[in-house]
Amino acid sequence: MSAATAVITAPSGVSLSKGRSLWQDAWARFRKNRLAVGCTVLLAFIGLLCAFGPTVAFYKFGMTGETQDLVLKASPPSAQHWFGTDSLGRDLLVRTLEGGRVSLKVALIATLVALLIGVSYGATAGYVGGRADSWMMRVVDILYAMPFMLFVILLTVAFGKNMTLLYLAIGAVEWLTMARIVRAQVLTLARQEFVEAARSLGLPGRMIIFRHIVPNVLGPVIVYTTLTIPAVMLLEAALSFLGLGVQPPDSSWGTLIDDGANNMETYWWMLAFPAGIFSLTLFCLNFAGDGLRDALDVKSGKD
Amino acid sequence: MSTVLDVRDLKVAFHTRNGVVRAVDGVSLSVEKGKTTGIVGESGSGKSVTCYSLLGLIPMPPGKIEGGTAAFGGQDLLKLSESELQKVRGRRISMIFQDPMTSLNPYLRVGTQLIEPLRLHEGLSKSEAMKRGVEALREVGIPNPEQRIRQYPHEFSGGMRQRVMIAMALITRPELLIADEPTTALDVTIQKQVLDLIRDLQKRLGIAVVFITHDLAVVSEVCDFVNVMYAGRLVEAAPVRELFAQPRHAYTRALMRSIPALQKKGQPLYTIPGLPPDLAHLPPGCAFRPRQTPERQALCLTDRQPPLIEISEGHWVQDCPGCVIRP
Repeated sequence: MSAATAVITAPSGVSLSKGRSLWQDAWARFRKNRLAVGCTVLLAFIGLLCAFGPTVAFYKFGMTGETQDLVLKASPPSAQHWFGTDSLGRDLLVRTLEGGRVSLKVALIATLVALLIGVSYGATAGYVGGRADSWMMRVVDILYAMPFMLFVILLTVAFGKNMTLLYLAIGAVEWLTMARIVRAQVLTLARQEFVEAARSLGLPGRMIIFRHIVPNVLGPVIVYTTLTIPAVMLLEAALSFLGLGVQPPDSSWGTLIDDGANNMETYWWMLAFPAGIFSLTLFCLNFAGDGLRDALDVKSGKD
Repeated sequence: MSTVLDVRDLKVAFHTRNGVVRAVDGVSLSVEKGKTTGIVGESGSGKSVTCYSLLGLIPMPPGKIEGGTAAFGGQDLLKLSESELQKVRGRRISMIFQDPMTSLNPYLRVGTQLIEPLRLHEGLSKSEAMKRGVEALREVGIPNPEQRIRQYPHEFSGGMRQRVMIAMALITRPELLIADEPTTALDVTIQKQVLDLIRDLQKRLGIAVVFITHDLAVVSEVCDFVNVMYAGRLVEAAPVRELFAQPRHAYTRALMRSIPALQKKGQPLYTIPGLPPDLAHLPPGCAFRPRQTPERQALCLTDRQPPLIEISEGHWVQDCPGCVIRP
């Protein structure tokens, strides 16, 4: 068309087939990180095992985590019972898997609660800004200052021990950091030129938040989520260990470790296996989270 | 010649902790169909705020439009509600920004962003909008638009992104384009291409353009009419030839003296002494006085704001005895 067009030639080395999004780039970087990929696979394996293991055990061997066999009580690992049995003769492998179900469920639900509250609270504070923002953040500061254990003990005293309470208590604590992270991100994003550009194109506020701001905070949010899950699991284990969380006969990794710790001088396997699986899961989550962080951090390398 | 936008006596202030900053104080300007009106000034002279406030894009509070009118297509932009403004923005008035590297969302495909105004304002289906998007990219001289439209911003160079921004701004065929220093962040050769492109499209589509810049060389190239702003006020306004042939105000002259290309080799580069004044504490008289030479300072108004007068036909200047040079 014009003289201006004639000067332009396609830059060499740019593949013109199909655009690669930042997500695809991040995925490519993540795949190169063997440790993170290995941990993710292992994590998926543990998750599947916990999800389906107990069911298989029930139909195949007629066992549940509550099937007691006092003849077998406290027997060490064998071909029959890989993880041994506990003091009531319950198969420890099945119990560990069932405990995993509870622990993972608590982790996922509490994290989801934290994610939901944290992201919406933080995004609102950051986007609205001004006085509303400072008030909202002072509330977060105050909640931060509350001693968590005291908070949970008070809750259990007031409402009795149940699982919903556990989710709520953990979620209520974990969303604070998420809210701070999201708010800080949104604060910088809302002043970016592409947000200004979107406004100048006549986009309404809600479209700007969902189309332009949320995708940009997703990276840090995902990373922080993977780091929140282990924190939540640790909290659950700590609470159960203290007798404030999951109650027998239900098991979670926390209660199993508690039982094991009581018997560890004579029956080592009761502590070793649940604690081993628990640590392995935490370890995997942390490495997968680290891998994700490196992959999603654009500054870590542009390849 | 029909006037597309007519701004009269616009006043914008920001109420900050340090006092009231009068960022725009009684600015009038108009843009005609198919013509380019330039706004020139240093950083902080209020040139961007003037345009942003027309579209309601300044943060309010602390910003506040304290007076004036902006006639655009039979309505006063300054009186429109936010939802009415949203219908004007991106459809009848579009903007291009300074830094093309940050004005596209890195997580969305270029095409998705490009067709946003079409989907929003014209309610087109995605496939129809995409067709128009490809055409728009072709129009701004992007090779292989069918493939490029599916790529992400980081796969485009700075100049290419600015072309995308221009395509996005013009895709709805607006009546007015506001270009906020569109070439400042680009290197010189790309600058030239982008300027040519804007001028070329303007001519073909007959749009009016408000061109904000601090670069007088760019002004001489693209503008038909120039407004020189200083400390939130107009100090001089004239057709481009007239202004460059006979700059009347000391500030305009000083700006022209500071163009490096016009200075003799081997001489130290001229810069205007001092800094732009603090807009929260403007002197009551001539705002340029502190930066004048001592003998001229003595002549400047100190008690009242110098009025804008028409010194010759179509040539307006702030009438301060110390600053104006009469023929």
